[in-house]
Amino acid sequence: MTIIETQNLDFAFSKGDLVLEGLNLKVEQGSIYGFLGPNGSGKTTTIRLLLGLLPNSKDNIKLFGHNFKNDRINILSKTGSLIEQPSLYEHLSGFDNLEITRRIRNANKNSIDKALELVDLKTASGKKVKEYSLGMKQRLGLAIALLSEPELLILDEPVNGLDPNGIIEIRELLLKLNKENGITIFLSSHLLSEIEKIVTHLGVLSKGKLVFQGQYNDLKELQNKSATIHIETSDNQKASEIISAKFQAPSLLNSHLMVHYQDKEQIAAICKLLVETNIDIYKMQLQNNDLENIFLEITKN
Amino acid sequence: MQNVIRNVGTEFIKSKKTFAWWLVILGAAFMPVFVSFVFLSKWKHLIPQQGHNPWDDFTEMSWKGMGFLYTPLFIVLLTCLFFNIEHKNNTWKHIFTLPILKSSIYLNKLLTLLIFIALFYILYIPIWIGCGFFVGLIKPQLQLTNHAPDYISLLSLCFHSFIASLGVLAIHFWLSIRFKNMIIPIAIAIVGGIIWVALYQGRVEEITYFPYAYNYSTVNPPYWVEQKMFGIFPQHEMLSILYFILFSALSYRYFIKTFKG
Repeated sequence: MTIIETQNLDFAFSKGDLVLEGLNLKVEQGSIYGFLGPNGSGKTTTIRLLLGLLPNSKDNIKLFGHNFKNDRINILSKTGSLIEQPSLYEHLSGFDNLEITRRIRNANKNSIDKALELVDLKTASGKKVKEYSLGMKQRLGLAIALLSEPELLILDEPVNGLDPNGIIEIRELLLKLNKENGITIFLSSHLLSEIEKIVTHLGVLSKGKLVFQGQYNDLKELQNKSATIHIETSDNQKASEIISAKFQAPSLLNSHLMVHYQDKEQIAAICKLLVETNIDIYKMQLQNNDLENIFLEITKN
Repeated sequence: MQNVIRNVGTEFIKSKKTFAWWLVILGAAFMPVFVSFVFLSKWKHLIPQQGHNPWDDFTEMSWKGMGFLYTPLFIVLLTCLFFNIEHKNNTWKHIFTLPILKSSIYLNKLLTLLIFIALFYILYIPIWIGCGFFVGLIKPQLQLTNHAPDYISLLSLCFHSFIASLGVLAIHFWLSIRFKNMIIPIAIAIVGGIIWVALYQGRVEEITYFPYAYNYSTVNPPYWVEQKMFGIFPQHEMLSILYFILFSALSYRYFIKTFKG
C-alpha cells in the first residue's frame, strides 16, 4: 500500500517562482523513506504541504490513499510529525507538553508513559522543557509525535543539531519503531551520511525537482556503476591494449590505468589476462565512489 | 461537549506557570486593594453622613477606577499574553498537524479567554467585599461593617462590565492572531485609551461608537449622550456585542482561511 503519494505537486510562494516542480512522491507502507536534498531544495516545503501547513489548491496529495483536503482529520489522527525544531511549550514540563497532545488526540493516559519510556525521558519528564538539552527536546518532540501510536511518522531533519551520540540514539529508535511497530517513516535530511544507515528508500530533491527516487539499493547500484579499478603494472601501455581488447578501454593515467568496474568477475579476468601476457601487477585497487559524492553529483546535475 | 471540555482543558494547561494567571489574580485584587488604601488614608473625608450607605462610595470609587483604563487594558494584556504562548513557542505548526478542526482551535481559544475574564470578575467580587469589610474593621468610623453592600448591584455591574468588555476583547483577539508581536496590539490599546479620554473630555457624542470607552460608560454614562436602552442593555453595551460579533467573524475568517502560524 502506498502511504504517501503526490502527483505533479507544484508549489510557489510567489507567482512564477516555483519552489517545487512536478513532484511525484511514492512512499510505501513499512518503509523508511529518506527525503534528501541540499538546504533550500524544498524538503520542508514538501513536508508542510503533506501536513496541510501550506495551502494547496489541487487534489494531488494522498496519504493512506485518501485525499488530504477531504480527509484531513482522519489522516492526521494516523500521522505523527516533527517539523524542524520541535514545537514545545518551554515554560511547561515535558509531561505537560505530552498531556496537551494526548488530550487533543484523545489517546490513553498510559500512552504518555509509553512514549516517555520509548525516548528514554521518563526521569526528566517533570523538568521544564527550557532546561532540556537540544537532544532531549528532539526526543520529546519524537515522543509527542509517537503519542497515539501513529502509522506514519513524518520527520523533518530529526537529527539536525544533534551530537553523534544523539544521532545514533534517534537512528536506533527509528529503526526500532519501524521494525517492531511497523511504522512507516518519512524523514528528511540534507546529509546522506545521517540517514543512509536506516533508510530503505530514498528520494533526492534538487532545486524543487525529484531527481532520484527508489530503493536504497538502487543508489548502491549507482555507486557500483561509478566505481573504478586502479591498476599499476610493469608495462601500463601494453596492459591497456590487452584490457581494451576485452573490456572498455582504460584511461591511461600517470602511474596507473583506470578501468570502469563492472563486477568482481571482471577483476579476476583482467588479472588472468595480464598474468598470461607476463605483465607484472604491482597494484590492483577497487575505488568506490562514496554515496555522498553520488548524492552531490545527482543534485549538482 | 466532552471534546470541548477536554480541549479547553489543554488551553488551561498551556497557561500554567504563565503571567496570565497572575494577571487575573492581581488584576482582580488591585483595584479593591487600591481603593481600600485610599479609604484608609483619607478616611476622615469619607465618613458617611446619616442615612448614607458608605458602600456606595466604595462601589463608585472602585468601579470608576475599574472602568477608566484598567479593565480594557487588563483584557488587552490578557489576550496578548494568551496568544503569545503559541507565538513565542512557535507551536502553531504543531497544533495544526493535530487531528482537530481549525474552527475548534479558534473556539477553544475564545472560550478559554472568556472563562479567564469571567474568572477575573468571580475573583473580584469576594476580594472587593473582603477589602470593604477589612477597611470597616480597621476604621469603624467609616461604618462599612454596619452596612451591607448592594450585592445585586455588584453582580449587575460585573455582568454589564463583562458585556462592555466584549468589543475590546474581540478586537484584540483579532489583533493578537494578526500580529505575532504583542507590542502592536498593546500600542493600539494605549492609543485607543488616549482617544477615549479625549472624546470624554471633549464631550463628543460619537463616544458611543468607541469600544475602548464602553467600560467607563457602563459605570459612568456620558450625560451628554442620550441613553437608549435595548432591553437590559444600554446602547453602548449593545454596540459592544455587535463589535464582538463583527470582529469575531473577522478573526474567525482570518484564522481559518489565512493564518498558518
